[in-house]
Amino acid sequence: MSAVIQTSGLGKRYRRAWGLRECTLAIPEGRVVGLVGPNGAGKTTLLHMAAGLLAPTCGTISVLGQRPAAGPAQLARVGFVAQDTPVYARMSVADHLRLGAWLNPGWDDALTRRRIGRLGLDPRQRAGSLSGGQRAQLALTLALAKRPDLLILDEPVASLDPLARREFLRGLMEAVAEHGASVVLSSHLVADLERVCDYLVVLAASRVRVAGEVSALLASHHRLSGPRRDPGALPAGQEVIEESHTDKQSIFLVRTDQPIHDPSWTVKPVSMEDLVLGYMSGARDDRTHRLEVVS
Amino acid sequence: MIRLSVLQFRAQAATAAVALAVFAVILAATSPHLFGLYDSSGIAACQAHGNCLPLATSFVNKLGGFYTVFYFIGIGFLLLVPAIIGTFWAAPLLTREFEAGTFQLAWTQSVTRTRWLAAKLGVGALAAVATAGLFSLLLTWWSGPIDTAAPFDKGNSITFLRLGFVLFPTRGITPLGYAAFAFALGVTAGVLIRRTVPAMAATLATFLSIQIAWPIWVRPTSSHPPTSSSRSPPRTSLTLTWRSVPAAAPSSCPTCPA
Repeated sequence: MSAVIQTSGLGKRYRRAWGLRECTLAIPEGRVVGLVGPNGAGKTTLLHMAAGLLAPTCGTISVLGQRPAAGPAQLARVGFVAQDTPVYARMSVADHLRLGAWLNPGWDDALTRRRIGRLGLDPRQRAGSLSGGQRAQLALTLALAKRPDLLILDEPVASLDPLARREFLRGLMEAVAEHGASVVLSSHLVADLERVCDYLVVLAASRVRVAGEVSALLASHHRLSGPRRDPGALPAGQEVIEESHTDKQSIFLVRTDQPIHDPSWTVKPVSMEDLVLGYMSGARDDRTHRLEVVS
Repeated sequence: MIRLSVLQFRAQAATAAVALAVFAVILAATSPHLFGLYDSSGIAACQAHGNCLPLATSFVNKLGGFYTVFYFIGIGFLLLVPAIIGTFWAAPLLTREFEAGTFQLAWTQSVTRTRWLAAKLGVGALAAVATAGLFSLLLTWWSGPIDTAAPFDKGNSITFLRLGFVLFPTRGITPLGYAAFAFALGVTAGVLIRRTVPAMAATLATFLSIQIAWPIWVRPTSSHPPTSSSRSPPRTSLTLTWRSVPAAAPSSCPTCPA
């Protein structure tokens, strides 16, 4: 299966610090990918490099087989919805749709009219006076009407209320089901991604912590609790992602492909949230910066 | 992309159109009286045969206070037009996109950044030069009679040197150059500073300083043609001589058939 986004040793250094480093990823086609991590983890940096808004400091990135923003043809295949969904405040909704039609050869006018009608947006209304949810929907409409092969959304729902958030994600999933684009969306809230994503990338402290299919990740991670034990005493095939200890008890989040036989453990399955939080807090403690990619 | 740049330029274009219209209406309404006075003064004919000084003095005296004042207002306005263009059009042209984050929207349409920038700068620069040009055309036409008559009377309060700091930048094609420069200055300040209000302030301050400094220190060096006296020979001379170089033997050339 070909990769929609392929990076190798990708890094971006800002004036003071690295925004992203040593990022090697291959995101397969046809997935809805959740990019999750705490604020400042490098999500926006990665997505901006994928959309061609930022040039990498080192390493390579190719999106749909080409350098991002390599030319009009490559740009036409990637839809991008930026964080806080910026729109031209003084221009009307209709002006934005006109802008999209002018600048994109593959513009789907029927799609925009259908979406604007369904959303109940007034074409004459200034974009600056739209609510956050409406503005996000307008930005999504612009990105969808390009009919992209890959849709990148940077924290599209971060500033929306729960209802607008659900509406937005539902609209996104409907469009994806209808037109079959690959989607990469970032969020610092796992709950948003849980509903829609089938592939997960966890970024923390400027590095990729884990990437893989959600079902495979959930099947290979377990929470073990039992009498207090040193992590070194665990079998070789069990990699400790996160650990916490009390005087008598130890809890480990481990990753293993083998079944766990030790009867002294209580083994529980993990949720996506457990997994993400485990990797994030693991990243905080972990000085060796493991990089794991599951295909 | 050009259409989008034009669409984004609507508000500024409307402002400029209103200002131009007001300016044109005032000038057009007052021109019959001004040109009538000039025609009846006989200045146009006197230049061939006689002494124009009394005619010019009487023409300037007959001009009402309005015409004298408006002559100065026109000059002041044309000195300001490039500054306004640089400050209010050029400086925010790119900074507004950076501040509002809308560059992320513009740069992810199916148009390269190069074309986006070219269209924005092209439309903006063209509008800047065209606006300044129209203002200058109107004012140069309206001020023509006064510009012609005033210099005959050197003691007059409205007599200015054609290449001085008052008339030169406000007549003919000079405002076009000033507008183009102010536009470039505003865009550059915007790109370097990245924030709208500081960029506008920097543009205005820099442009006004250059507008003042240039006629004082730089233009005098180029406004007078260099002259030399024929009586004293030049102190240094440069002699250029042609030396004829013998043509190489045409051995490598094919001989022409006889």
